[in-house]
Parts: sequence; structure tokens; C-alpha cells
Amino acid sequence: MNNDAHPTPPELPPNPPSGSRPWDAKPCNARPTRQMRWSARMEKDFAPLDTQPTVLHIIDTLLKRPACVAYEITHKRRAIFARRLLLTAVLGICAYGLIMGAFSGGQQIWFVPAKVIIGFLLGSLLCLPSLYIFTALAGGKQSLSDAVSVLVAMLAFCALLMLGFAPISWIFSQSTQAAFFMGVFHLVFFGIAIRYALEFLLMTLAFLNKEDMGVIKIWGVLFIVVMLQMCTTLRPLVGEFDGFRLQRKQFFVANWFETAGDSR
Amino acid sequence: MDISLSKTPCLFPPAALCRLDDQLRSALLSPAGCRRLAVSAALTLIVGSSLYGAAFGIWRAGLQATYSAVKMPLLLLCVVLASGAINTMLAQVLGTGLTTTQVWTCILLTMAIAAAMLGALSPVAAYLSLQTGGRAGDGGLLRYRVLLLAHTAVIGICGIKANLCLHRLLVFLTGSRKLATRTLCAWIFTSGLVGCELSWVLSPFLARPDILIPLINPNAFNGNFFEYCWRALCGTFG
Repeated sequence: MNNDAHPTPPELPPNPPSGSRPWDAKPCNARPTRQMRWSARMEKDFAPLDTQPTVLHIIDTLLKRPACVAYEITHKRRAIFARRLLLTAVLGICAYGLIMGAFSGGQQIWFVPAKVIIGFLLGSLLCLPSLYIFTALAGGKQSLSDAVSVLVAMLAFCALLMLGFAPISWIFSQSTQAAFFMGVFHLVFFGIAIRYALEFLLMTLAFLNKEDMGVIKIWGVLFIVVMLQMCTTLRPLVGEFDGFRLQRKQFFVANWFETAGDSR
Repeated sequence: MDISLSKTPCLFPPAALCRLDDQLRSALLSPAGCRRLAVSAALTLIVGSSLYGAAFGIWRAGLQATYSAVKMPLLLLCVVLASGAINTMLAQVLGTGLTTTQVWTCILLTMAIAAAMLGALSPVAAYLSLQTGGRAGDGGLLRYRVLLLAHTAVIGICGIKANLCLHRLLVFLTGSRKLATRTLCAWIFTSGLVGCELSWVLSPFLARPDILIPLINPNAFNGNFFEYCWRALCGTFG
């Protein structure tokens, strides 16, 4: 989509059937759902960023006013925002990777951040075509470059949340020697971060298109599966350095069972 | 529907086919638009299903990937060709008022939407196929079965989603939800019947890891899909 494709914020239909879609206004006595709260936030903040788009400003806006980021990545400053969001994602994941690598120390301190960044970006690249097509299936009008921008924003959101977990992760890593348990903790933190990041993606797309983007939930499952498999491909992310070669091919569930068996 | 046909693009990209927006639906109302749509759908079908065929075939070998990449689009196109005539007749018998061109375009469009989804999923499918371990070793047959089941499920889900899109299109074209549902059920029955038999003959899916990769099913003309299912059922429960 070119920059003129969304010159103004999308407008609500003149007489929307109430309650049929996430952004519809509900009667005042109805308890607001999560979708309605997101929708209200998006409506309020869907405007350009009023300061220079530095990385720090973008981080602040992404957490406090995600609709503002949604506006910028679909308008004129899309390229700048996408680049800086990507930088934010890479820095956040790199920092979390350092904490992961610090558990084992040695060469892992440098290899784990590199592997995590590669895995994160490669996994996202694999899932990009399906995000584009699934968005179109749900009635979304985003072009491939729009899909890239929204995906990068989601990655930055996820990376920031994981960065927030980094101190907790570090504390745990200092008190245990068991790689399996550290792996479980990392998975829990990733699970929480990705859950909110996917919600951000879903609500952003729903707001931009004024459509119920339920299909994106299926894409979310696909994204998580790819990321988990990527962790297995690039293993060991937690544990001793085991050379530069990739380990033998294995499905991530089989790997979990094997690792859990070894830890007994 | 205020979009004139002159504004419609020469070819519709895969995302536009999946979106089924006003521009695409208005193209269905004229023969020229139908032709453009049919060409776009056919191209999407060939590219998308070919990519997915290669993505799951790569688990077995390069040869299987090549065969599957050729046979997947061939299978879908053959289903359209074989069921097109009867689907046109059924549409007319049911009183939908759809022209022959519209019926063929709609069926092609459904296959194209499924193929677009499959094509979009092919990078993930290829990655997971390559990472689940090879066909050698003790777990080779188990991995083959899991992969076959997973790919069948993915193709099935994409097919269901494509048929739901077709239902939306039929509601638009016929103006009646009930009629659209009846027509869709009739089409699914005929296309399903043809699809089962053609997939039995062409066998685009993975060959078992313990046999050579065949170009076509060696038993293709020695029985049919339903006979095979019947014998399998009798063998299991009989």
C-alpha cells in the first residue's frame, strides 16, 4: 500500500450494527471486553507522533500509545518507523539473548544473542507471506510492505516485553544449574511476551481494517510453532557451547521430551 | 457496486483474490472481467500449489519435491476441469442463474484461494519438513505418517476456508443465503468425489519412505480410491 492509501484514519460506518464487531460501541451497562478497551484506546490515540521519532520515543509510544505507532507505520513516516522498530526489536532481543547466554558463560555469551536474533528474524521472514495472505483473507487491505511494518512493530513489542523480563531471568539463571528449568522459564517469559505482542498485532489490524481479523489468531499459532522450532534448530540456547554445527534435526516437542528425560 | 470494470486491474494479485472485495466481485458480473479473474486465479493456483507441493515433497527427496510441485497444481486444475460441467448444470438446475463462465470462474477462484493460502504457508511447511528429521532410521515411518497427517490437515483447512469464501461469493451472486448454501453443498460433493479419485491416480502426496518414489500411483488403474478405503476398512474391522 502506498502512503496515500490511508490518508486519514479509517471512519466508522454511519450506522454500525451494534455489538457485531470488536470496535462497535456497546450499551453503557455492558462490561467492556478487552477488544472494546483496545478499540477505545486506538480511537483516542490514532494520530501522528508529536515528537521526533527517536528509538526511545518509539519505545515509549509503543508501550503507552500503540495506536500512534499503528498510525505512523501506515502513513508517511512508515519507512523511518519500520527501521527504528526493527532496531528496537534487535536490541531488545540481543539484550535478552545476553542474559540467556550468561547462564552458561564462555562462548555462549556471544553466540546465544546472535542465534536468538537470527532465529527471531528468520522465523518472522518465514511467517511473513502467510501474515499477508491471512490478512487479505480476513478482508484486510494491507500491502506486503504494510504487513512488514506491522510485523516489525509486533516484533518490537515482543522484544520490549522480553527485555522487561530480562532482570528476572538473570536472577533465576544465577540460582540454578539446571538448563531444562531455565529453558522452561525462558519459554514462559516468551509465552507472555508473544501473547501480548500478538494481541497488539490483532487489534492493530482489526482497527486499521474495521474488520474482525479472527484468522490472525491462527497465524499467531503458526508463528509460535515456527519460533519454537527455530529454538530447537538453533539449540543449545541454554546450556554449554556445543560447536558451530547445527544439531541433528528434531521436532521441538520431541526435543522437549528428550531434554526433560535427560534432566531427571 | 460503483466500481466500473475499466478500473479493474489486468490481473488480480493473490491477496486481492483472497480479499474478495467489491472490485473483484464486480468483475464477476461481466464476461471480460470473468476472463481476467480466471487467468489470475489459474496463475495463483499454479504458483501457490506448486510451492506447497515442493515444500512438503522436500522431506523425502528432491525428486519427490519436483513431482509434487508438478502434480499438486495438475490435480487442482484437473478437478476444476472434470467437475466444471456438472457444477454448471447443478447451478442451473438449482436456479442460481449463474452463467457457465461465472461457475467456472467461481470454482477456479476457490481453488486459487486455497492455493494462495498453501503458497503463503509453504516457507513454514518447508522449514518444518526439513527440521523434523529425515526418512532414515527407526522413526522414519512415524515421521512420514505425522507429516502426511499434518499436511492433509493443512490442505483440508485451507480448502474449508476457500469454500467459506466461495459461499460469500455465491451469496453475493445469487442474492440468497439458502440457495448459495445448497449450491455450495452440491459443488463440494462433486468436486470432492472427483478430487478423491484424481488424488488417488496422481498421488501428489509423499510416497512412503520404504518404497521408490512413483510418478503416478502404481495401483492407479487397479481399483479406485473408494475401493481402497473399503478394503482398508474391511481389513481393519472385518
